[in-house]
Amino acid sequence: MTKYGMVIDLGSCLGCGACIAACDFENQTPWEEGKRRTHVPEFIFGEYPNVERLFVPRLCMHCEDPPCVAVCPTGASYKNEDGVVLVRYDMCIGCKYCVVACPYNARYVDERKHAIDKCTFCYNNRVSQGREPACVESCVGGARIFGDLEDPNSEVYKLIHSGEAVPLRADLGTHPKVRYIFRRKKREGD
Amino acid sequence: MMNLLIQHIWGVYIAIYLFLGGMGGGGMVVSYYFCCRRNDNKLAVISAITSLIIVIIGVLFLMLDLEKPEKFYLVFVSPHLNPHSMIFIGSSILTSFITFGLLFVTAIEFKWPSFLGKIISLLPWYGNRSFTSAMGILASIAGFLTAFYTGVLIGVLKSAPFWHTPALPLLFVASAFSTGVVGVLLVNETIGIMAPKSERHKYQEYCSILGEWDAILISIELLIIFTYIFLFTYGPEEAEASVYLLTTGSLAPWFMGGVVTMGLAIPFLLEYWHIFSESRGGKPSCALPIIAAILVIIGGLILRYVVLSSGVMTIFLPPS
Repeated sequence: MTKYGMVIDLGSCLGCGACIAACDFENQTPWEEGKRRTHVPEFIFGEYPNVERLFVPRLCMHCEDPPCVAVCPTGASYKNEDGVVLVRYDMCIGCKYCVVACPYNARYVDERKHAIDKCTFCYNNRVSQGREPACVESCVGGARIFGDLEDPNSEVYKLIHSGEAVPLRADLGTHPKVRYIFRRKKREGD
Repeated sequence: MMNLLIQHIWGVYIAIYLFLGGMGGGGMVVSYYFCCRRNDNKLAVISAITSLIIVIIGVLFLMLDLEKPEKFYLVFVSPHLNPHSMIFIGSSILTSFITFGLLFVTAIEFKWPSFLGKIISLLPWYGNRSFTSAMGILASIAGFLTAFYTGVLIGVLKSAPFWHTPALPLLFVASAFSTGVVGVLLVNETIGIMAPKSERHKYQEYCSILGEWDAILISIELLIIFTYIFLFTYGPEEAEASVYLLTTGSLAPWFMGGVVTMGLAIPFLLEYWHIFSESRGGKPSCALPIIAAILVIIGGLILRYVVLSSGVMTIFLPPS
């Protein structure tokens, strides 16, 4: 069994937006309407002199307990055998309940498809053919790490099991498979 | 600093749907009262039909909001059907409401217009009192569930803490019954105007009863709103932001002005005034409750809109 996941190392994100461009191109998102599968918002917090600036790339968290799937009446939103949350566009009636239910704001209405769309981890177009998602492949700083969360030899497995990579809004109990490294632990040679 | 986002996906159409669903559901319960407790079939039939039409218009608004309204049937027959989805549960409730409502209306003994009367009188259950009563009870239960469901639909969502509270379905149920009662009050007045003079006192009495009920429902609604808002001023932070939006922010004119003042406080005072003047032997008139009814209906619609527009959520919490 494979369970795909992603770790995003915030210390390595430059905020360049290459992932956004690669995703828009790969997945032909309606970006001109501001609807994208991944975003890179900037956050500045703390008070002078302890101010921190972070870019927090955002995408579908491919939750283990996805609220979008739980609310979908027709089963158009589903989690596949590899743990990736996808949409059956022909089954989607566009009620938008999933868009409202998603606590990560990962979904949007694609007017061209008359359906809801979201990040697919490039499952059908890349991952199933052994390639990495477009955002991962294009990341200049190597901030996005993709792999199998059930493979103990994968980097994502090690980062998550070391406790270094943590989920956003763990309090919601959705068990996201996209995790974040806020502060990388010092390693030998660093 | 938090990353706060305001829900903007569900707007006016869903607000109208939630409002009409509640009003129709509440109205059906009141119709049952007039049919089977007061034996006023005319008021019961016309109120029940109005309630059914209101709910059906509400469903049309839900359909209008869909990206693919032509595929609405998938809610019931999708090969991957999700019976736990509130939309599936709600659609089933609405279907049973419309079914029991129609059976109830066609079972009540009533002087229908000629052609319709001929068809309805052919129905085997027409005029059967125990069937009427049973269908009335079932339609009322489905009406209550319709009203309740409109709040649960939003209440089950964890994305916005302001919605994820038992106060929301309770508020929507109270508002649904209040708008349902005043809906019947308006129907009652319309029938009353057209009725012969000898019967008018009956409708005047109904008007007072409905006005009294509504005053009680409004006080319950105000209590729920006060508790709801007051508790959320203590957090969580997203819900505090929702409260801010509603009480002093951009939605304040709609909520404080449209819902609390125009839709609840003023109608309550008007209804109270009516009850007070009647107890003092004042001239019988339904004018004040009618004005109150119109204000309650507008306020009820605005309430659904502001609740939908105040769903504040957070995606990112900075590490402590």
